[in-house]
Amino acid sequence: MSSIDWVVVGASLLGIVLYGVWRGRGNADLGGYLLAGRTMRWPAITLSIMATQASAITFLSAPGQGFADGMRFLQFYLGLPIAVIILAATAVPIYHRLKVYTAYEYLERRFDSKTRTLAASLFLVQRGLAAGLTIYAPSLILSVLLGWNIYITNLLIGTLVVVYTASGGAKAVQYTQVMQMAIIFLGFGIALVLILNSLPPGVSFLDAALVAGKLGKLNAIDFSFDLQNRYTFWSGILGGTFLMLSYFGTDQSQVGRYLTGRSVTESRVGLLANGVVKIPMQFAILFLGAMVYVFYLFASPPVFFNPVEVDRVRSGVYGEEFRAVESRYEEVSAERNQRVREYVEARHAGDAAVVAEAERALQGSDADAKAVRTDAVAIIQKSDPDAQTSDTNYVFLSFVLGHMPVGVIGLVLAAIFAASMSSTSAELNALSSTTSVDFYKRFVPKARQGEGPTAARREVLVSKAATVFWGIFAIAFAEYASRLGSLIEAVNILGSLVYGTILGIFLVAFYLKRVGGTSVFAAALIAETAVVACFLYTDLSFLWYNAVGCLGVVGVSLLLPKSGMKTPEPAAA
Amino acid sequence: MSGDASRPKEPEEGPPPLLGSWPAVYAALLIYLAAIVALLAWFTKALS
Repeated sequence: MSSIDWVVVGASLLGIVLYGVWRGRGNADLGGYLLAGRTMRWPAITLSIMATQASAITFLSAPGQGFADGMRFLQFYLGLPIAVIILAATAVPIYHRLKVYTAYEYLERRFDSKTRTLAASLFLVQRGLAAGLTIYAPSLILSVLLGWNIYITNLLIGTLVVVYTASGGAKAVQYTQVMQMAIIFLGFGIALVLILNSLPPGVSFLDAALVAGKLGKLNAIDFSFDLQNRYTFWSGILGGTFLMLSYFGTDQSQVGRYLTGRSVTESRVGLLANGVVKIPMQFAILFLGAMVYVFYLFASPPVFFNPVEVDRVRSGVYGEEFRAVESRYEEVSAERNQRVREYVEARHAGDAAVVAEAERALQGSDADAKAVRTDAVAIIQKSDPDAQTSDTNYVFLSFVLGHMPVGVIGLVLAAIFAASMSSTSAELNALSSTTSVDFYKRFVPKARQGEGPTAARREVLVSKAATVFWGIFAIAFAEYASRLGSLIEAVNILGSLVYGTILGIFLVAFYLKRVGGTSVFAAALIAETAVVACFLYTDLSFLWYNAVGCLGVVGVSLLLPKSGMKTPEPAAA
Repeated sequence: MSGDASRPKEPEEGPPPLLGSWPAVYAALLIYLAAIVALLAWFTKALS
C-alpha cells in the first residue's frame, strides 16, 4: 500500500472517531444516551438502518458471492419490503406509544418478566457473538491479503468503535453512520466505475453484462420451489420475510435505530425508505462481483484467491501437483480469454448462428476453467483437511489491491473499515441498551439506583460501562473466532437460530391477545429446541429456521393452556 | 414508567409526507416490490 492510501485510511478513521465524539457530547440522561433524545429525522434513520445491516462482511463477501455464485443471493432481501411494511404498521406505533427504550420492555408489559428476560438474553448472546464476528471478518481478510496482524487489526477496529460509541451513545452512532455510508457509497461507486473502465477496448457495458449472463452470473431470480436451495424467490419472500421481520422488529440493534425518530412518522418513513433502497443497493454490490468475474475473463486470474492457503499447499507435499494445476489453469484461462473475445466479436457482427456457436464455446471453456479450479480446491483440502476452501471473501479485495489505482485502494479500505465500525457501533449501543434497561434497571433495587439527577447520571454511567464491556467481549471473541466458511452466511445462520423464536414471541404478543406469559415462554423453549434440531440433524436451508422458530412459538402457544395471563400494566423498567 | 423523568417526550403520529395515507404508502411499496421482481425476472431471462 502506498503512503497516499495510508493517509486516506488514517484520515477517514480519525475523522469518524472525532466526529462521533463531537456529535455525541452532552448526554445528561438515558433518553439522550440510548435514543439520541428522540430527535432524529428520517434520512438519518434510513442511513443508520442501512449502515447497521450492511457490515464490512456485506461489502467483502457479497461481491465474492456475485463472482462465484452469481446474483441469486439478492433473493435473500425480497422479504425486506414486506417486513418493513408490517413493522411500520404495527410495531413502530406500539413502541413509540409505550415509550420503550428496548423492544424487550414491551414483552413484560404484555406477558411477564421471564419472557422479557428470555428474549433479552437470547438477543445478548446472539448479538454479542455477532458483534465479535463483525470485527473479526474484515480483520481476517485484511490480515490474509495485506499481511496485517489480525490481533492488532481486531483491537484497532474494536477500540476505535468503543471510544466514540461509549462516549456519545446513540447520537454518536447515528451521525457517524451517515458519514460512514457516504464513504462506503463513494468507495464502492468509484470501484464499480473503474471496473467497467478496465474492460478491454471494444468491450462495452452491454457486452460485459451479456457475457456475465451467459456464464450464469446474472441469475437474480429463481422461481423454482426447492427447500434445499438456499436462495430462491420463495425462500426470499417467505423465509426472508420472517428473518427481516425478526431482525428489524425485535433485534435491538435495529429497533434502537428507528426509536430515535422524533415522531412515529419519522420512524416509519425511515424504516420504509430502507425497503426502497436496500434491494437496488444489494443488486449493485452483487453486480460488482459479476463484473469482477468478467474482468478476470480478459486477464489472468489466480486459481485460488486466498494467498495464505496457496502458499501453504505450494510448500507442502502436494506442491508439485498444485503447481501443475496452476499451469493448467493458466492454459484454460488463456483459452477462455480467446473464446470470450470471439463471442464479443460475433455479437458485434450480428450473425445469430455464429453468436450461438461462440456462446457454446465460451460456456464450454468456462466449464473447463471451473473444473480445474475444483481440482485446485481438492488439492488444497487434501493437503490440509482444515484448510479454508472457500475464497469468495478474498476475491473483491484481491482485485482492488491488484488492479485499482493508488488512492482508490485507500478509499475502498476506508469504506470497509467504515462498514465494520458502523455495524459494530450499533450492535454495542443495542447491547448496552438491553443490559442497562432490561437487566440493570429491571433487577437492581431502586434504592441502589438512586433518585433524580443522581439516578440519571448513574444510568448513563452504567450504559457507558456496558458499552465498554460488550466492546471488550466482542474484541475477545473476534480474537478467538475459529475458521468459518462464507462469513456473511455464518452471521446469518447464527441469527436464524434465534430470530424465529424471538419473532414468534413478538407476534404472539402483538396479535394473540388471549395467550399468556407462561404459555408463550414454554412455547419459545420448545420452538428453540426444534430449530436447533433442524440445524443439527437436517439439510433444511437456514432461512427456513426463522419460519420453524416463529411458527413453532405461535402454534405451540395456541395449543398450550391459557396460563400466565396478565392484565397489561407498566413494566418496572 | 410514565413517571420516569428521563423518558423522552412522547412522539405523535401523523400523516405520511407523500400519498395522503399510510395504507397508500404501503400499497405503493408493495407495487414497487412487484415491479422490482418483474424487472429482475426480465433481467435474468434477457441476459442469461
